[in-house]
Amino acid sequence: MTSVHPPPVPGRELSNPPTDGISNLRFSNHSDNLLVSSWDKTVRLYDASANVLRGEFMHGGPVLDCCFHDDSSGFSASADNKVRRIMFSHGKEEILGRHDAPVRCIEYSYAAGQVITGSWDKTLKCWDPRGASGQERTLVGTYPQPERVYSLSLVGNRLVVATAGRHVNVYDLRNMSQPEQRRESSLKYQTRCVRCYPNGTGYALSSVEGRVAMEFFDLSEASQAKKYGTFATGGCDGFVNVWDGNNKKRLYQYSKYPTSVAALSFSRDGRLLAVASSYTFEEGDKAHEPDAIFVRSVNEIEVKPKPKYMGSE
Amino acid sequence: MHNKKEACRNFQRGSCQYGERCKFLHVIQQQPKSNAFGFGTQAISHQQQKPNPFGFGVQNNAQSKGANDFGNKQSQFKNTWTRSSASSGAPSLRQPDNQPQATNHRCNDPESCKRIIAEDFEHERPLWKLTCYSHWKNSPCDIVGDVSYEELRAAAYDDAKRGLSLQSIVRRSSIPYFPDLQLHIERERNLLNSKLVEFENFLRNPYRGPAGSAAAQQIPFPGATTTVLSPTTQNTVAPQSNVPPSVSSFSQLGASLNTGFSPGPSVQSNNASGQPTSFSNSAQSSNQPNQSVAASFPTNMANFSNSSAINPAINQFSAAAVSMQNFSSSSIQSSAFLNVSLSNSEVVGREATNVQLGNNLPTTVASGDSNIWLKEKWTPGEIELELLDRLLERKT
Repeated sequence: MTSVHPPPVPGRELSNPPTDGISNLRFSNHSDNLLVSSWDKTVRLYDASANVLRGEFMHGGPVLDCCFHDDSSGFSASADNKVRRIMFSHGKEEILGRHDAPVRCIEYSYAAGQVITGSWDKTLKCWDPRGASGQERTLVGTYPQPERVYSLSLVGNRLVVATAGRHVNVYDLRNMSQPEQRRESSLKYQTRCVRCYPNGTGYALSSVEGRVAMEFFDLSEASQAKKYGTFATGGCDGFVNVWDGNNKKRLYQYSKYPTSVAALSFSRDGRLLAVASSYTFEEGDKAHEPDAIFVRSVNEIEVKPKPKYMGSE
Repeated sequence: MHNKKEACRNFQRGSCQYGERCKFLHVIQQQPKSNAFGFGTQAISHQQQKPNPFGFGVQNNAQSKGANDFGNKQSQFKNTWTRSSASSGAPSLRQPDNQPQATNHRCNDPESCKRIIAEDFEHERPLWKLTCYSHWKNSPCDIVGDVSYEELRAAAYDDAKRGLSLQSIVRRSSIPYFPDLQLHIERERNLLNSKLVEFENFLRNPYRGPAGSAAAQQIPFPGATTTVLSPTTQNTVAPQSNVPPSVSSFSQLGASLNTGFSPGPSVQSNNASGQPTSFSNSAQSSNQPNQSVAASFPTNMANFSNSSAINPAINQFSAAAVSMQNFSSSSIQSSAFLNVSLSNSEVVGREATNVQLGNNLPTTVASGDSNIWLKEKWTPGEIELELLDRLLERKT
């Protein structure tokens, strides 16, 4: 068994990080481009391998989430209530639409060809980015939620929305008229983040108590042998842990980052892990380490499930 | 008394092979810090018979993994966490892990549910206090009123942008998109303490929900209580869910502006029922020193005025509320929530008149010197430390 004392290298720090808190960061599906949204009202595009800032896009308010469309454009969700499309090569952004309150999360669905946003105005909105700009043309639908939207995630045709008050709605993108499933979180405290498994069988939900719950969409699948796969979590303690969901074990813990881990993203091939070390205000306003982005290589041994020693389970 | 023992280092690293037999104390954070949220990391502690809450839903394969750990206790994470609900003797309530919507939990065994709540309160309070809570997984929230880090940060930035300090926030509608939060900040800066009180009161009387709450009706809970809950803004509860005995700090604010000072340990013993309804009793039943159940929560909240309508003992502290005017006010951007509440004397004064009196509630503070609440001037942090010390029975 390997010892878990990790090397003290947190990864390479990207230069020109945002000047304020990082709300989210994402690797592109096509390259090592990294899109970073920040409370300093910018969205930045980096080439993570080359450590180069390729673009910086100013918004009207703190940017709470961002996502790629393809390597030439992306979308952003801002606290100024607006949803924007960002054209990287042209160096500009345009408004796709707006909510009535800060837009908290944004995803692009390749399956549906739509942008999906969740907001603190308790709605989910779907947008068609191919249309001309302006809300009248692009808004596909508005779907009320029981509470303010805190997180959402997509896989295939499924959309999972986590709101305040521990509600979780699962939608089929092909029929958004009502949720496919309505649930309460199986955790006891505020939901922090939801992410679907890449294999589309379920999702992981995390809460402010520091727990992660693994859920399945389909009960019949749940009763089969469970394959959760491995996943990484970042907490306000500054640690990134990699877990084996199947064996319910921690596989690896990276060395402590300077401050809270605000966001994580694996690159498309899993070689790289981008970590946003950025204080998330979980203790109110206080002095904190500067916000930084670290990109580290991922070793297979860190993320591959370990074989079981005991046969029983 | 837990502070006689040293913390177990192996446990803090993720697993200890001695488990229950270990002679060191299984807590992650042994010493509460005196910073704003003196509660350390993930609120994971391990009493002798208590489960080890760490992570993954209901699992109980400690036995099968036990041998695994002997070699590498530092590197292996052993998930031996179970919820204690099994001990209640109502196994039908335990749903298998893979059922996403458990049959609606009905608190058929209120004692075990109370135990769950007490344990959660003691062991698993998260660092972030402005959270909803449910004592049963997949059930609707018992306590509503979620605020996320980002919402608070956005509100603070918004106001900073306009050059406002928190003091001015009090009177301004600066957060139009989140009316509840705005309401709260306008009338009562103590988000945290009201949430704390909600949790405390919920712990004490989980079943005194709003009339019409299914759970409350099913359990004829005797017990003197003045948990007058105003189920006004139930908009935070999803329409399809059962009506839980939910308590919302926001709805209470709307219903009655009630402040006074409610420090954690100010325990009102509801004596009418024979149950361990007083705080200290439930703390003892969990094998903790008196009042320590409240230790982590209120350490920094102590100096907040309390807005909860359901806290019966507030009347005692209305004087304290008024005296809070001397607290140095600072914006939400300044040191931690410790100072968030700081009120505005005018607002506090106004609110103090709406204090609700409980019925048969003694107004004694369970332990310690209560004079501190009546002081005219406090230095910031003073209450916190005083309270903390008292709760942990240390000398100041």
